[in-house]
Amino acid sequence: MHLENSTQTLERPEWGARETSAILSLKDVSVRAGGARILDLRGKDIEIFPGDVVGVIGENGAGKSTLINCIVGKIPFEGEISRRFTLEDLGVQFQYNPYDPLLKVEEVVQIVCDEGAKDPRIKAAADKFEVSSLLPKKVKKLSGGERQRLTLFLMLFKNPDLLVVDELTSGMDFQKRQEMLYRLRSASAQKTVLSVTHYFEELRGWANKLLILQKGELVFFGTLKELEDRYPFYSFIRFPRPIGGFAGLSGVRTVEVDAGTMGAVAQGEEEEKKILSALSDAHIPAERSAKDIYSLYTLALADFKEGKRQ
Amino acid sequence: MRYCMQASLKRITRVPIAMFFDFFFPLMMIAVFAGGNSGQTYGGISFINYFLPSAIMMGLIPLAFLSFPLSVGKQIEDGSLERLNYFGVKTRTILSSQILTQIIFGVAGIALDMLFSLASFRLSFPNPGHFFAFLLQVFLGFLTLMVWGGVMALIVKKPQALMSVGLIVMFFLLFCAGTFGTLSSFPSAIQDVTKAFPVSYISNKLPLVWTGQAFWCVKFLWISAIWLAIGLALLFALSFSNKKLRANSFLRAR
Repeated sequence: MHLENSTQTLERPEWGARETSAILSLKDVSVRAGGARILDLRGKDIEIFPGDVVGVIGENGAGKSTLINCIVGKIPFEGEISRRFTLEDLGVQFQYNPYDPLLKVEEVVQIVCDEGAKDPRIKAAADKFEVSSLLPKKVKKLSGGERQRLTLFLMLFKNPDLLVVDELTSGMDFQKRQEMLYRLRSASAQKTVLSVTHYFEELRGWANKLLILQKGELVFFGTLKELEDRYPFYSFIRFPRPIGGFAGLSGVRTVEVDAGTMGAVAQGEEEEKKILSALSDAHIPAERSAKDIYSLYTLALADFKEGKRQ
Repeated sequence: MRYCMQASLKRITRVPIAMFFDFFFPLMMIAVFAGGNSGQTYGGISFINYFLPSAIMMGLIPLAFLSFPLSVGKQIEDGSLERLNYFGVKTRTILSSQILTQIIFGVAGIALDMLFSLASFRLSFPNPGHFFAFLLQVFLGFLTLMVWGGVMALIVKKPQALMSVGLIVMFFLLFCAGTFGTLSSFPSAIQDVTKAFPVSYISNKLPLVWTGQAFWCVKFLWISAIWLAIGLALLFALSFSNKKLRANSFLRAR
């Protein structure tokens, strides 16, 4: 049996004194497109407070980018969004960030920063974000990762209080993802952040709240602690979906992780041993994890889908 | 604004088609036509003095109907304008830079046409009064063309289609401006149609201003004013109804 005993836990940073008024409130927000409701948060209230780091997660087409676009006023919506911030307070990185392809990077930087490229502040910031080597390049020559790096640099240059990032690291290799994430996290201390991502590990030790969407509907919004309390399990064991069925886990809660993967929820050490033993006997490889965002998300999603079925 | 302007000026030099039509095409036409008609006069006016207004329009029409609408239309459609808006750069700053850039290049093109005509074909300059009257009327014509170039960018939207429509309009107006031969040599029905467009007066009547025979071409001023007024009204209406150009309520709240 292949057993990878993951020991990752949900490390949450210490949060400072909570300001009482929300920086962003959403009430009954919904979006229609082409006759369909692609985001439906009717009957839901979402409040985000200064200092919150909210991970926005969900499958493709869940409505994550739609939600972000509503928040920054990019698309029309029904319902109510109260923003206690202005454009000057906002730094936003969209999933796709177009720049005039005929311009050079340094020209874009100068336009946005309203300073010459030789200004010491720009030079220092460009060095810090490793954008200096990109400055003489034409925008159209930039790779996807370089374009994201440029956007991150431009977004953080004016030191906004609210950062909204939509799949910052999408399509990047591991090394580049880590670099980008490090830069964003270092710059986001004491700031409010909304981060859309498919890489849940990026949120570990950073996000204090999760917003989970599924097909435009809200699965969960709250603190990680609340989600943990909702699912008080001991460990989560992933294994490939057995072909032809597998009856060895009767009495254990199993959920579908994805099309090819199942997950078994162990409520205690004994049950964990029982599950691992059953899988081992059936020559099914298993991967154990403690409570992590991925397993909590899987369970929340499974419950949501189950609730929809009933 | 300063950096937007700088970038806009550099940007236009990176568009070969804009450079060709703005600068080289009029010079080429001056060389071909003035070279081929040297010594000829039209109503006592030497050919180069007669042809200069048309040559100037050959540079300004492509600026107004290719370079300007393509650059503005592309930035609106591909979202780069909105991307800059979210960094706090205002639409009016970007568009003003684009318009100023076209004007600067237009003026540079006019100066180049005059210097080339002077150096190669002994162009005669009028007295300062007629010279400024000529420039003012050319500028009015250019402004009218620019406004309609903007209208075209907001109606056609897709950059590829914009290029095709721009070329069609450009060649039609070049024809009206007398680029492909004096309008008097065409059937009267065609001449009547061209009279509805201000550029046709530039080739027919502005030589009189350049040669000091008149200060103002009244018909040209009237027709230009009408086109300009309609164009501006359309431009404002289209700007307000264009979802991509009209900043959303959040961006507007600044």
